[in-house]
Amino acid sequence: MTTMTRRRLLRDLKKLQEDTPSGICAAPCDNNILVWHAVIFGPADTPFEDGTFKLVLEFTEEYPNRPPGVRFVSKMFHPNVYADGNICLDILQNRWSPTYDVSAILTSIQSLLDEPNPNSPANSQASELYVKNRREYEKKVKAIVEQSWVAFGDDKDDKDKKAK
Amino acid sequence: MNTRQKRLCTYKDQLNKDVQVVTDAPSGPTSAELSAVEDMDVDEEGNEKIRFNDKPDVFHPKTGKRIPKLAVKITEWRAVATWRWKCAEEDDCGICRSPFSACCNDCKFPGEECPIVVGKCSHTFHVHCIQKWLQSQQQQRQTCPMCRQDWKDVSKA
Ligand SMILES: [Zn+2]
Ligand SMILES: [Zn+2]
Ligand SMILES: [Zn+2]
Repeated sequence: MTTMTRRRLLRDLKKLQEDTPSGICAAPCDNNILVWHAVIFGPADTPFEDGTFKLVLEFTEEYPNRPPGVRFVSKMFHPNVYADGNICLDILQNRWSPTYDVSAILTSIQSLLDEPNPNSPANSQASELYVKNRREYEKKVKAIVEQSWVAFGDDKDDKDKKAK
Repeated sequence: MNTRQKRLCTYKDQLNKDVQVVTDAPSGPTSAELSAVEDMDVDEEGNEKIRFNDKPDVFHPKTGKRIPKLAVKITEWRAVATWRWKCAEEDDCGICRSPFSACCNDCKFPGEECPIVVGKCSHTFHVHCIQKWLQSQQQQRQTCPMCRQDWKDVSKA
């Protein structure tokens, strides 16, 4: 892999270790710096509060000139998250900038949780409930928050499989 | 040692080690004030101290003022020059995140080999970093990664 991508990812890691944004942790796989595992904690005072949502970030050698692929591994119920965990977020697609780093990506996803973008629906049920029946929406969110705790314990094998 | 009130002047030698020179000079020493070192010892803090020698006082022939003495003789002077880019010192390149005082992540040495360019929007990057970004944008507009305005290199102007 190019040293440029590698060095940049190491800088991202160093920055995360020195100045960790609250409610976020991330680290590359032991054997592959292009694959990172991350956890985003649901922001306080939102239906996502106390959730521990796992994500995988997959970088290419074109990083930072191309965004990484980012998806939720934990089950997610959100207007902008597809059933397979992929996220519809402009900065990860056409609004990407090479000035973003791992910390900025994860912070953006964290704030997306409670501020969905109705213009790019990825989960039609979540979008509809968010607009029309907020109570029901929050109930569904609470359910995936609880699932995120259960899934957290037996995560290790799952992670290793995905890294391969 | 005499009991005159002494001032401490601190000089930095080429090794960047602080050497304290004990002198009664009212301001920095001049060549006329320099005489041989009498003794050198180390104080409690480990600083090397050059003690003021006990030669008789010398007075200025016209003003009658005592010419301050400094117990050190400068025999050689080595200047070291440093340079940096004309931009904020601690700034990092937003793309590679290396400081501008260093080169981009693809180069080995900062300087002419890895210059810094400034856009019309006044954002600054290593030339290699911004070139790679502009190339990767392909058919799209070529924009500054910081502000998304059209990128125009004005550093050659
Ligand atoms: Zn750079
Ligand atoms: Zn370079
Ligand atoms: Zn700009």
